[in-house]
Amino acid sequence: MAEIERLPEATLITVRCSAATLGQIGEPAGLTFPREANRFTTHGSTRVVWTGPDDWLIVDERPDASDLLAALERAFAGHHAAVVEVSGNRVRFRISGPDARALMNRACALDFDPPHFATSQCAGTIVARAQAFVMQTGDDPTYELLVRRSFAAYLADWFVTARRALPSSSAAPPSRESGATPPRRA
Amino acid sequence: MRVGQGGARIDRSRTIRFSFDGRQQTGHPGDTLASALLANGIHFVARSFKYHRPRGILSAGAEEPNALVTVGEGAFAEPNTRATMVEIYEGLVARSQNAWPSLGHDLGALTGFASGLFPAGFYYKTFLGSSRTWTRVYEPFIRRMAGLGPAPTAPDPETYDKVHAHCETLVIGGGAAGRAAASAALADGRVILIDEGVAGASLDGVRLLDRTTAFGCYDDHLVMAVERVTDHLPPSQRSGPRQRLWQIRAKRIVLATGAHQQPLVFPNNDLPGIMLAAAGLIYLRDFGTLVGQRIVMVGSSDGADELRAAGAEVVEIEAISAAHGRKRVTSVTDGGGRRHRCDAVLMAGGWQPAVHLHSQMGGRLAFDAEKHCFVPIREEGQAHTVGACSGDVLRDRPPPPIPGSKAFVDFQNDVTLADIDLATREGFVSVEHLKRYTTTGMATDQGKLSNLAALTRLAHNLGGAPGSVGTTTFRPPYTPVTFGALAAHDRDQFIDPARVTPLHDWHVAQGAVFEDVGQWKRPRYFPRGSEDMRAALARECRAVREGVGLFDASTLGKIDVRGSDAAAFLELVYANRWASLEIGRCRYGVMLGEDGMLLDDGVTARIGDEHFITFTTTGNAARVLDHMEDYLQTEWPHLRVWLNSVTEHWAAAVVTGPRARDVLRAAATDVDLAPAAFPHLAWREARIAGYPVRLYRISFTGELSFEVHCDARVARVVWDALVAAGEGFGLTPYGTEAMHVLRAEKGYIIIGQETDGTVAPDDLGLSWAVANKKPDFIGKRSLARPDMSHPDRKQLVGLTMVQGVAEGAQLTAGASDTDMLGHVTSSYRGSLDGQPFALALLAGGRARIGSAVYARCDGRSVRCTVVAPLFHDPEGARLDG
Repeated sequence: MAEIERLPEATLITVRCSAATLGQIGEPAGLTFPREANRFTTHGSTRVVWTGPDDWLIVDERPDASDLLAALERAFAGHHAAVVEVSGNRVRFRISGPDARALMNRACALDFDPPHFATSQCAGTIVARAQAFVMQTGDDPTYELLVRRSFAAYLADWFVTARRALPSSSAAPPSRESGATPPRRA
Repeated sequence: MRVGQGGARIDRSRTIRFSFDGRQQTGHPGDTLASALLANGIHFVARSFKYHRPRGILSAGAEEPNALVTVGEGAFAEPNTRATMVEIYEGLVARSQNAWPSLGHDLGALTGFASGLFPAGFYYKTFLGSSRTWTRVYEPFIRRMAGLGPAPTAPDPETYDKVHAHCETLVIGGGAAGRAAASAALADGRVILIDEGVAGASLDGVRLLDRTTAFGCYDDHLVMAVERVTDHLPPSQRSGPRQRLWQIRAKRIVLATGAHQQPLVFPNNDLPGIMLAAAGLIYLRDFGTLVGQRIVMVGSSDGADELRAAGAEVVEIEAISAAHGRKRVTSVTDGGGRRHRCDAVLMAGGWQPAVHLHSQMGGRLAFDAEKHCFVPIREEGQAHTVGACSGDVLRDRPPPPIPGSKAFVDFQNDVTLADIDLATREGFVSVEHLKRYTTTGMATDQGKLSNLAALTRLAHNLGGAPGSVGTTTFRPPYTPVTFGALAAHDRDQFIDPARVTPLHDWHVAQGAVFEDVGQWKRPRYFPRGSEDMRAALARECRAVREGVGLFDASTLGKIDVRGSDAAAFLELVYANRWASLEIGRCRYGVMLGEDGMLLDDGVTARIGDEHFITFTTTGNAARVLDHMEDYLQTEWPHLRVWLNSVTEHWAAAVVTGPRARDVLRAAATDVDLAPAAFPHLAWREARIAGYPVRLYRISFTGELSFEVHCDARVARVVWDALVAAGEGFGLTPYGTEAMHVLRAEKGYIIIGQETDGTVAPDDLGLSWAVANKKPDFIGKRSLARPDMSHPDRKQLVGLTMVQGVAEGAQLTAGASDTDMLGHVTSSYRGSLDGQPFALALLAGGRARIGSAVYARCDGRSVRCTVVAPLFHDPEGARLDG
């Protein structure tokens, strides 16, 4: 069993700045920006996801987080940095259930076995044929995916189809009736 | 024939019924199709590829070149399946292939009598004539005669799975050496053990994949394997995927793939009943089956006593000079000329380690003269080989090959010793040439039973020691893999992702007809009632020209450019000037490559002093961002600029037409829409349905236009508000087809349609967009090349004509000229008058305005008048509504 849920719309904010600038600021808007690659931090309803050496994606579960946007803009004002709201760019999926890892192993080439991928780790990668950021959000394991909006329908359908192949799936067997094959010459 | 002895793999207490060529047979659970057929006394199961020779079962494993059959029926049929690898189940239906009308009486066997016509390289010798003869006569003939089982024509109804796995140690081969290696590796972490057959006892801590064939080793220790999940089950018991493709990334690979016993080469060595000695013993030990009553053993007499104990008469001889029989071996002549009556021959030609995966990984081979086989060379970074695969094989020195009629080297591709000799005489002395000329080793069995003999013979012919000529390259797959497993989930609509805009569901509900633009699905037109495309197009075009239209432009690329050097950066990546652009204004920009040719175009708006948003064409969104990042990071790292893709953050709706302002007045608040306050090429903030939006006065239709950009999360709400506001004004949704017509009438280019990488700004009349006074921008130096001002460069022009011409049509000066002057880049019918018009790239085109050219179209020449590339509102008066 693996559950595939599309999560409600959230606020997404991209922050771009150098490590040195971040070092000067410390914790912008009270958030801990992970310095280590492929990590994310969680502060209540807000996550700060490392998406590159000078690139963070902030995910706030509130659909309107204009206060956070303003706080970040204030924190980075006067620095060589960019704070850009990109809420429309991506949608979120959650993959959970006993076969969550098995399903991710079908979608993505990364090694999801512990300890190679654990809670609080994330990666920018390819899921099925769509670029995505994958986060492990729970030890069960549970994953959250950030996917470009235009790929969301494709990926949701893909997951539902691939899930049928899981060993524990009780999907009905394919029809065994032969198709309308014309007789063939040997 | 089943005997009381042996049979470790079968369950004699149960009987399974199956059919071969329509005849009912029985076997036991655990039987392979090959063992069950042999138990029923059937050796003759196939016809060969080229000569249609009767063929039997040669081996007991993956290396089988002869016993290829079709298993299953209708859409479920799988051709060219090795009978040695098929586990039988109740109701299995198998058929022979490559024989007509029947296996026993095959007309194709006539080619065997004419085999003098089909020596090595016969394709190049026999089928001479014109290229037309080849495609019309020879190739259809060869295709009909050669080949094996036909593929089913219906779509594959089965499903397949594909999964990634990771481990510290991957062991391939579940024999004694492989199992020992797997257990020993547990201390290093995760271990996966792959075996082709049915698993033995489980190994604690080891992940065992049985019925799984590792068929390819790729870079960085990636191994691909296919697991036959339900192939061995009766259809009624199958559920879920039929096969599973494993993509295994391993830190360390251990190859325990064993070795293949080699056949001997002598005349008629391919007769049914002639088998590998080891296979004969496997059939006895594992399946309780004697392959004959009177067996001749040659090359080795290992196991002779076992065969005798099971009831067979066994004759051991040193060498065979020929075998005799038609559809089954009936006797052999030994080295001394004595004839021995028999119904089976077990031959032992030495052992060749299964080094295929080792070679695929780039591992090298050495020839071991003592063991007469190629053995893997152990090197740092290569897979570890253990057991027989490492060269730990018996020192059987096989008797030399016996030349003569029909002494086969490669059974599956029907290559004889004489073919190898002929190739050598004709000068094909490199192994690679020998392989391609004779096709030895090129069949789906990958030469598992033929390479050693072919290479040894070539070396012998050249007077060298065996192994002196090297080997050919082993390539994946080790054994054939069905396409279904390779594609797995990524079939049908998942072959390529379909990207959709946030307004897609609305378009679907409106009955839009979609077109693919890259991965995007874009509405092409919105037919009403029984409208065809032409009628819908005419209505949509007229609505925009005379009323107001609504268009989903969400797919446009959008890049957020920020930083204190944002303007300076844009000055460098675009040919235009940007420093002077005021906040609140937009400008059309031209992006060039280093070669001065157009790379992309689009509008850029200044949001703030240090903040711009730049729009790219739909198809170039990712490429333009990469291009900009590339220059920013490598050429101008000192510039303080950040680039962020906001393509999918902003949904975009275009409201365009003389009534566009009326619609916006009804829909938008907090904005002054009067032309004086909000001129063409300006942008303003506003609210629609209570949500903040940006309005851009950018026109791609020539009419008054507002692009409404909003957060994609509320795109549908904003769109619905526009639709509601437009109700009283006849707001008409239009698709990409109308968009193309409307823009072409204004001479607005589309990157990739009017450009092809060889078109410079001046060619398109875009010199005004090039700020040559700037100290530098990408492409500037190339624009100064003399060729850029050559009068004969192809230039954008318009064409008018009586009948439409095809896009891509060649243009010539005279009706029957052949010198091409250019080509048609866009061709449509006018939005209002329905008259055909076109845009074209024409040599010296601007100087030809007013003259005639001819467009070649379906073999006819259509007279066209060259005009300026502007067919609608030349003064631009309509841009303000």
